[in-house]
Amino acid sequence: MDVDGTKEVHLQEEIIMDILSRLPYARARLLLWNPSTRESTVLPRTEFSLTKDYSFGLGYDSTSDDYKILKIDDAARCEILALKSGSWRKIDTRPAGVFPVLSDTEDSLAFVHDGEVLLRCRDLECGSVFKASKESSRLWPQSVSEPIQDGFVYTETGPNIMVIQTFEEVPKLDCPSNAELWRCFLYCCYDSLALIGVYNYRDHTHQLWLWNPSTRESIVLPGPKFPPELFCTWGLGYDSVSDDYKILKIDLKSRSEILTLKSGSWRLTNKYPTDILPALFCTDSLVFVHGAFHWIDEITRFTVTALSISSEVYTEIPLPEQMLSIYNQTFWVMEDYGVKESWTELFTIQVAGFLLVIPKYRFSDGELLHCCRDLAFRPVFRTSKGPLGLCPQSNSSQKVKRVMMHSVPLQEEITMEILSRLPVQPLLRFKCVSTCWMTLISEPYFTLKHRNRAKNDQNSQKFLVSRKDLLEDEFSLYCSSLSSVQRIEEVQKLDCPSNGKPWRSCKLYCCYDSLVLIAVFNYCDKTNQRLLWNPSTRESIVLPDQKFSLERCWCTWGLGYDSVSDDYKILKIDLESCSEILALKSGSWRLTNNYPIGNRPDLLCTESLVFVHGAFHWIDNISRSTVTALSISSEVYTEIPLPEKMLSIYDHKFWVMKDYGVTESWAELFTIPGPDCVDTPSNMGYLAFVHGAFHWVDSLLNQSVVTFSISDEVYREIPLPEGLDLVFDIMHSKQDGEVLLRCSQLRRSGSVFKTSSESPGVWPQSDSECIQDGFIYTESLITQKLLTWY
Amino acid sequence: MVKLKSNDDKEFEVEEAAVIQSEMIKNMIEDGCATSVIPLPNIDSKTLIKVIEYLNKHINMGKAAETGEEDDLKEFDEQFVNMGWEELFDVIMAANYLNIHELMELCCQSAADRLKNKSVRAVREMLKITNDLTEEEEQEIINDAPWAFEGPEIDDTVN
Repeated sequence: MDVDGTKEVHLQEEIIMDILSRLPYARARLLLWNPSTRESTVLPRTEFSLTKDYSFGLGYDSTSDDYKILKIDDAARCEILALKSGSWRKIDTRPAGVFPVLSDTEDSLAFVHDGEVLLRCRDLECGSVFKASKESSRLWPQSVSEPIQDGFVYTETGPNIMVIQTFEEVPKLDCPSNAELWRCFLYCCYDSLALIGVYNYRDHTHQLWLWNPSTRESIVLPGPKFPPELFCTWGLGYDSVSDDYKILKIDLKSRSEILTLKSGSWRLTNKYPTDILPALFCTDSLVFVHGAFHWIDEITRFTVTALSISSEVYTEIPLPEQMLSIYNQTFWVMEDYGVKESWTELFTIQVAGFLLVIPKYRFSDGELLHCCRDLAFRPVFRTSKGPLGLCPQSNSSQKVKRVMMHSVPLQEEITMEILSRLPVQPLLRFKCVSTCWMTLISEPYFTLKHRNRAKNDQNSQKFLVSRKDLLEDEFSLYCSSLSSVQRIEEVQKLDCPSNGKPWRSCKLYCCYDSLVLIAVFNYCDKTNQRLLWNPSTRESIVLPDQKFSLERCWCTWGLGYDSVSDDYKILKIDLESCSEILALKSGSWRLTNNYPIGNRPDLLCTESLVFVHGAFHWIDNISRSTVTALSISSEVYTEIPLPEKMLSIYDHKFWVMKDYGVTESWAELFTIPGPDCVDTPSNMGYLAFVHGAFHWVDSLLNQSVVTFSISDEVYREIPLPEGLDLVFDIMHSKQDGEVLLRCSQLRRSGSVFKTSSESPGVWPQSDSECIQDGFIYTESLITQKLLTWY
Repeated sequence: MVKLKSNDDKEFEVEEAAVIQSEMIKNMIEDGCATSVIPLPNIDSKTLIKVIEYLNKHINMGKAAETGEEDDLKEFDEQFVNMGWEELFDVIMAANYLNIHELMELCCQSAADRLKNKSVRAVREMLKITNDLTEEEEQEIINDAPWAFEGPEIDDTVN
């Protein structure tokens, strides 16, 4: 503890406080540790017990020539330990009512902030708030020369490591208010600059910042072209040729884009080697050395791909064959850059129970600081032979585990696993359980995970109908569970998404995934409004009015998701073959170009446009027998010719295109047997493809449903109850073979939905109602807000 | 036979056919890293016994369908998850660590089913979660979707 200027700086850079909060819920020992000398001292016990959320600060007080440690907990209780005094003392000059926001998790935190312990107290008194970052996982000083006076040092707190940062002094950073939920991601560091992402849970916005923690200056970077996918990795480097910093972003789809700071805009890098998928899970951030970004490409091929920062040329660096056994935690070093023969084995370490070990920094004595990812993918920082014991010793670790189990019953991912199996209603309710659950359920990652599970879950398929009460002349919407479609108590009445305005009628247009396109007629101003609605969360947005086509013209709608622009698009075509498209993000309608001239869409055959293979499909000009497809991302029209034999549509033959887009692959699948089919072209609509099998009504009078499984090519027959009305469509089939049918009854208007088993009609439930339409949707949390994720 | 060692130093012998349902151990065996005892530092013997019981029962999953033992297996699964919360979470953690997909699926679904109709208060008590939301925040969440907090099915009991 030399007060001499240079040495002091040296110490401040190097000293790392390691807090062994492995036992945060029992008795934690605090240690002060100098990683350079590997010496450590046990600190006295704090007066307040280590409660759930607390934070430490370590600093050097030049007035008293002493190191001081500050501890604040979530009850805003402050204690300070001056090393020379050897005991903790309370600071209670803080005004009441100001609570530091330390963390939104149950995990313990640590931060180090040299020389500013007292200042920080003042900050708190002035009402400044500490913000915690939950996800940070990078080690801050990635090079020794980095002049971090305001250093963030990452300390080991048992199996869960948390890093917090203080943002109150970052200029320009629109620090969210106390109640605001936000999360900060540390992407990577180079030199003195750090790339961070700030994500706001309230308005789902994401911003990219380049920040110099030493000077606390920062700039907002433009958003990349591709939205940040679930997994993308970032690299930051300096290009000496153009004297500029560059930021590289690659995602799992190996789309890589680069931002040069001077140009101020993102562009794609060219010639990414095709067929290579970057193994991003192995890399925390892209490694920038020798003027190039490096990452491991496709772990099975064992090459490192390098992208030169100035020339933007990709090169591949092979890895030695001995490195292939990845279960050995062996560290390798390439002594001469680019020379394959110079790969040497450094050493092997024993780190049991970790998924991944990432080397972070090599001390001058050859020892290594590395970041291990535990089973929960949380980072734990260790040195290769640190003084604190690398592997948990069996006896104590067991005790730790028991303690952890009681106070932190579930790790976040396990919670996520369990929650993703719940329906939407309890999920919305459980947001109230704790901050941690609320954050988790609001996360886009969780929403997507939940949606993907729901898509394949029979119980998440819901049936939505619009109903008109003939006596009251009233419209209403109902949803019911499909698995128990006969049980009335499962039926829920939904409020029409009409922004509170009185409404008179509504019409369901189409449905994709969890979203429904619905039109609402307002009673007061007699206008039509179209909304995109998630019936599960009951959220909706009003869509802008169509611009070009005539309101009264007969038209058909399609809704689909464009994965290229990560956006939902709505297509509307009418009989005049005027087609316009609305990309939700753009917020306005525009005409699609080059609609094939002379075609007239045969809209009467199609209830709503069919969205498969990333394109909307409809039958164009039934006499010419082509299917027109409009690709959702490129908005290019293509025509899929139908085989000539198909021209005779009165045959009731079913055709399948085995290879999408290949005319020759059209094959005759089967002909509906039975002479007594009702001859209308709309019989095409009878065919439904569900659960890997085609379903169609065998004969309208014979009343049975035939299924044809495409995997084992077996026909099965499902008998229908006698006296069933005309069947229009097969809506859904359950695994036990029961089929939901849409029928029409001669004695009543509207549709009738029935199951194939012997049961009375599902909808309508009384004679006085008329069912207009029904769709199947997947229950999920997906919202249009997700679209503003970037 | 493969030898597994729990974190309290008890060794268990399991048939290879059973133990390879764990992706993690399967990979270890394929890479020749499982020649001696496999230490499992995250699993205690009580949990490991449960997991092995499951693995042994599910050893011939494919065959079960042919021999009509599907119902038997279903019944076993139902009985298997009939355990306390704490025990269930121990098994989930172990299944997650060992990467046994089916077991993870079974236990997480059971946990989800138990939570499904519970009230917020009941969930907090069952999982020993302390509420750290302010009253205003809580009210805001309720106001966003009041219908999610109403209904006769919501169960306030803890069990």
